[in-house]
Amino acid sequence: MQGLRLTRGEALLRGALAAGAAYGLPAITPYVRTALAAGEEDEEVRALNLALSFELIERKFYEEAKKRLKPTGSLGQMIDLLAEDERQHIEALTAQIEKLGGTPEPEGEYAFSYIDAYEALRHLRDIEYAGLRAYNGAIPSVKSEEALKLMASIAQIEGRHVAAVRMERGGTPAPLAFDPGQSNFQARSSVVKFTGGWEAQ
Amino acid sequence: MERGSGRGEGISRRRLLVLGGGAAAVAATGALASGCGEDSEANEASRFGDGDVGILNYALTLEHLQSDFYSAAAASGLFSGVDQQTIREFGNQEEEHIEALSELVERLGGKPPAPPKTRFPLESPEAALQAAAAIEKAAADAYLGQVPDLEDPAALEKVLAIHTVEGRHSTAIETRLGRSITPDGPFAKPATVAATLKTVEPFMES
Repeated sequence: MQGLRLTRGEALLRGALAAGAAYGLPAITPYVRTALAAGEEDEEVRALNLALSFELIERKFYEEAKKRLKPTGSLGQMIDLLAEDERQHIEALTAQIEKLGGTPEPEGEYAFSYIDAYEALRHLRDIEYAGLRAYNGAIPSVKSEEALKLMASIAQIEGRHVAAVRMERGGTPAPLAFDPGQSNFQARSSVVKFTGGWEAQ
Repeated sequence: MERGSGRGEGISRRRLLVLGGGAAAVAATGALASGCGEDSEANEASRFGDGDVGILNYALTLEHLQSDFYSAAAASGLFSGVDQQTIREFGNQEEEHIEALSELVERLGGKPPAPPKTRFPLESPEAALQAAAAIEKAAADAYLGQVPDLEDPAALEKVLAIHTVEGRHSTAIETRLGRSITPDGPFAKPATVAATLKTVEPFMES
């Protein structure tokens, strides 16, 4: 796993606290305010980047699956459709992150181990479900209207993907009544077997 | 613009309350019956109660509609095997949604609405599935339309957790009908209260 990286807000806050220790509270008030504002901004970008990180994993998965499985029939159609959806999600999320002044998370190194379509679909089910729960966990921290609407809209599509993948595998589309959100840490941890680790954003 | 500042259907809920002096809660069936053709500028969920309670009661009304549908479909004799199993499963999940949303409404000091009176076209499996498709997509998009206006954190979390399950239900039925798993493409489209009520009107007793 790669090392943890301080967010801009955390770095500013750390600097402000150091200055406060040297020069007293009044001297650091504007800096703390700036640091807290940056923290909010970071939180927004962090939520979008979490979503983007899952879209990137999914895109890579579909790219590889097309080459390795050479899927035909309903599986081939589904993979084509889902891959195109993820491509458009990546485009929209990237634009939103840049609009907020953030840096879009780059594609990482991923490893998907499977020997047939059935096993590939099991991985895909897990990845799509983890992504869905990441969206549902991150959306409440998003404050801007545009970003929230975008993420909620994609979340529904991710739910639809999960259902489609489950059915393609012969399972029930929705085994539970709720898709509870999960934290950034939980979401990234749930796909660590495919990503090998992550750099904290 | 930030959350809760009017992202739903034009002007904000706060603004609506200022303009209207606080919308009175109305009975669910009455709200549904008079839901179409109203001023689309405001979030019409206020017909079902103030603030988050109104949104949750609107959702509850749709959940009751879905639950009724699955009960009727399961008892219709039209389906068997996997279809019947899915109908029962989805019906049970709608019941869980009703329970969760009702608890939230009560915690927020509101009163859950009475279930609406419903009617469904159950003359053939095809007709029933078409109705199911319309109802599930309407519900999923209705939730999506309300997400931006929810203010209570627990209510928002629960609505998000239900919203994507409704999306799953919708996809299952669309697939059963041989249609696209993503009816609106890569991005789901939120529905206004008025649009939702228009979609489900054929299934409501006036």
